[in-house]
Amino acid sequence: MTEKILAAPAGQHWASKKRNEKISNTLVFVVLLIGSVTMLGPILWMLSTSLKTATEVFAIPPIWIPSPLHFENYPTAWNISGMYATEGITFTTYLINTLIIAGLSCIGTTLSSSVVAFAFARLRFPGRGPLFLLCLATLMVPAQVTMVPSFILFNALGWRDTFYPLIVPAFLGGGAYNIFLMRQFFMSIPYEMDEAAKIDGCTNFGVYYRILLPLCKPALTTVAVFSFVYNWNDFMNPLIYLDSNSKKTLALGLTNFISLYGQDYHLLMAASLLISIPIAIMFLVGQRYFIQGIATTGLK
Amino acid sequence: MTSAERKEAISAFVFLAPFLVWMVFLMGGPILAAFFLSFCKWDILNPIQFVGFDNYKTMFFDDPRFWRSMFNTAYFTLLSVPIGMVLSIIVAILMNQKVKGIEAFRTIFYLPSVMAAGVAMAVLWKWIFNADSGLLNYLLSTLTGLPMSECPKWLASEAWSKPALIIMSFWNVGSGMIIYLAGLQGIPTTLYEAAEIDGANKWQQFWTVTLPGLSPVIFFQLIISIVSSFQIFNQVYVMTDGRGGPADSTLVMVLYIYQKFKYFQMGYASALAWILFMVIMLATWVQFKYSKWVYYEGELRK
Amino acid sequence: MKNLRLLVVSVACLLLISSAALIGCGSKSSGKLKISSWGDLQENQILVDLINDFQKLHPDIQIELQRIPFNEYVTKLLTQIAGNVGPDVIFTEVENFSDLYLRNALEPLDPFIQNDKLDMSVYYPQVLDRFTVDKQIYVIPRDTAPICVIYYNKKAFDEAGVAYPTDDWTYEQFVSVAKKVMKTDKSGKVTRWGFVDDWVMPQPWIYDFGGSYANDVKHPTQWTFATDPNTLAGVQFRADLIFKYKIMMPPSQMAEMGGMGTSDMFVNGSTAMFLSGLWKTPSFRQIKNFQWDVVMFPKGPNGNRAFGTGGSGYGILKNSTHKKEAWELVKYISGEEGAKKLAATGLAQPALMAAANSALFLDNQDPHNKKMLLDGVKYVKYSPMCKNWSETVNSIIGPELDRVWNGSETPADAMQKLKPQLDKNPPELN
Repeated sequence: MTEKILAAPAGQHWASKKRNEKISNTLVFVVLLIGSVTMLGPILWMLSTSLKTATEVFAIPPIWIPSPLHFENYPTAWNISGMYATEGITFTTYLINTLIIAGLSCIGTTLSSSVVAFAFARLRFPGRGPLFLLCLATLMVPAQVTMVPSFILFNALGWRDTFYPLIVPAFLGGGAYNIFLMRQFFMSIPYEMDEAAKIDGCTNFGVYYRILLPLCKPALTTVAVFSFVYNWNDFMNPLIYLDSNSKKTLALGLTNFISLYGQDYHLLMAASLLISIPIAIMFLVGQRYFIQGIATTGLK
Repeated sequence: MTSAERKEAISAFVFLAPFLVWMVFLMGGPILAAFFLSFCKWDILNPIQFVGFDNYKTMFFDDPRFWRSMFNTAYFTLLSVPIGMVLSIIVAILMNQKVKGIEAFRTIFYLPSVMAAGVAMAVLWKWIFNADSGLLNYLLSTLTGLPMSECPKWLASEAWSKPALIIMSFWNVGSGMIIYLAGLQGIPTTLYEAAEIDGANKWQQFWTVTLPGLSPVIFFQLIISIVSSFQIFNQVYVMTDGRGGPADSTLVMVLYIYQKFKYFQMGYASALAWILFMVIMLATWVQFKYSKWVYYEGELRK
Repeated sequence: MKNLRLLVVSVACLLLISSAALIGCGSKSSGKLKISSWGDLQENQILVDLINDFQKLHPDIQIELQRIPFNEYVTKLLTQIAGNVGPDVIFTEVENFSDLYLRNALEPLDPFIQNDKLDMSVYYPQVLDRFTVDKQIYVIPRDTAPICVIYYNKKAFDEAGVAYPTDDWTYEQFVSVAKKVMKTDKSGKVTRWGFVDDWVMPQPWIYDFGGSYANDVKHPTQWTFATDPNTLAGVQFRADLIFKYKIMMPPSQMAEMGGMGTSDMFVNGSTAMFLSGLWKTPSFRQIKNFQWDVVMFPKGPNGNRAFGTGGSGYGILKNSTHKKEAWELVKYISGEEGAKKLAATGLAQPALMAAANSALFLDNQDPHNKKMLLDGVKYVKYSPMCKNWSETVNSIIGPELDRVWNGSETPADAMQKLKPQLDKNPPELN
């Protein structure tokens, strides 16, 4: 091995290597730039539409940059105002509701999925294999069929028109996807670490809480972000479980701009962009945690 | 069982408690109910009627739309999953380079996955696929010299409607990219260095270091992608206004199930869901069975 | 130490959950009267106002209004009923009325009507008739929406030097007028179509030509869609509009118009005429410098006239536990007050004849020719009432007709293919 290193011609080799690296980096940058245009294009189009009047939305030829820019669409959409605002409920109400639901679900999912995954990854018990398969199996049943029985169940518990059906399941494992993800992460950490802690007299919970959990901070952040985004955008579940206008979430709020008779696209776009901003910011800021994190422990 | 084993099992039970509650009450109940309903006829407004295997008999022998929807779903899955995975991996590799502004790029690529496939997105995509003046055909005709009128009619044609949806699904590479990116960053650089010293070029390094190191992630994503693309619904619903057209060419299983639900046929919808469930189970089992190619560095404690 | 942290975290969670519970706490209301409705913000406001007025008159009745998007209305309704928390008063429209009626979901209203000696002759008889089966009324109509409204762009007609169409025009005149107001650019591409419509079912043409879907509307036993020569003639004519006379944009192209509907095409000038109901009026009124009016759908062969219709009304669910109170509410919101408010918006034609005939509806606002709607109600035809109507239309007839509008199949061939399928799936009544 050492002979090979010593035999490598120094100087020249490294210079060309550096040049190649620079070329490839520039290439990558260009490709990413083009890719970004593809990714951003639709969002820019949404932005453009959100600044038009209703008639301008479908004008022919298409208007790329409307003038004037109708920034008032944003407060109009947010307050559902000038359009017979119903009972003083605006997107602020929806925002608060969604924050509560998504926030609590996020906490619940992060905590419970890691707890459950620990059992699957580290503890031995009869039926572990089949139980995990059953867990995965729950991902394979379309929600449309379990919708009605679930509703009947939650209703029997008296949780109609409350946030409970949307939050409680998060505290009960958070769903098979998250359990699966966390299990994979735990599996990537060598068991020697658990053993060392156990020799020092750590209980199972101690191993979980003091050894594995801190090592998996990035994984936890991933689960947190994914579950937050999911609940933020969820349309079907709030539709089924919430009745009162005052309890509705942001995703449901968008339906204010869609009716049997037509759609107010300019307002719909404005509202859609507004509700995506918090998520985008969350991701931009938090990616340091979770990408780097997912990495070091590795989904291996 | 030894007392140590019993202690461990009890401990496991405690850890699993929330999950077990969920499985038994919130999942088990509804899933079993759906199973039971598949042998019944129920329009919700009237009592449940037991009909034995009638639903299944109709489905297999008398329902061309069932076979249509299975075909459509399989077509979609078989094309979108592999291509999507390759794209995600490529994008992840690109995102793993030390390039200026990489964090901004990552956010930009992830952004589309965050914007739910709602009516807002559907409007835009319908424009892109417009046969006469949409962006896609415009690009196609500039690149291939074909006049716009010869380009595929995408959402208006039976043959090109599924490809249109598949293309649309590539826009969501962002979510796969994140997972692969994580996996990539987890491959120790020492392995690459060793390979380079052994004389491997970048391409060879990819095959001998990157792919094997990424295999557990690929496995995870493969399973998840297949499970979720078999259940694709939202995009199809908004792009075809719930019809699965033209002429049922985009009628995927879950859309069919949803339609049956809207036509007050809960029993039949449940039966359809069970068949879908079994197909997905089978697909997953096959993947697990032939998963020797996956290389784990950490281990499941046996 | 770690135990303390754990304790703190769990207590914090419990506090959070309970606060969420308080905020998101459900109304343990078994005493509230529930009404659910779809509708845009304007309609909803009318309902909210009506309910508020009603509460002042009946302070002892508590009302909960649930607003549900139209597309998910039935889904949510079914889920609620399955969980035994269905609303008491529901909003239904002419198409899904039969779904609910045939499944015994609706409470017959005659006993209430007779008890209060309500005069039902104030409603359009045709509209009321839709909601009456075997002499029992199940729904009090709110509005009617004959789909016979052809909007036309006055400027387009002026440019082409064509006189504005009048209500008694025929289908042949329709074609020649449409041809004249079309515009193509130098390359032959159409920049303004004569006419567009994006209805899944070509009802107006079929009905105008004397065709039918089934052998009877209220008690169909057989589909006549594939066998009725008049139905074929209607479908053929619509196909001709696209392929022979080329005045109509192929509906398949509509699918990719990026959400741009026929009304948007009308507004941006891509079409000189389009077919819809009255409900586009409020949004058109807001556009400045837009000259438009409406004309009744043209007559078919033999001077025949018929078209489909929309329309909605309020009913009471059979398993409601507050039927008396529900009736009071239904009576109020379908009464004069509600009709007047609706008339003023121009959004829909009230089913209450007096309101429709009043100045509130027939005011000076666009469209000037809206009085033709009063006449239009006479010619409406309803869809056959059977359990599988929607399914037959959307799963059997629709896909096959998609091929006709695509140009890949002739109407005659489509009918040939449809006949065995329709015979195998006759109308289901029970």
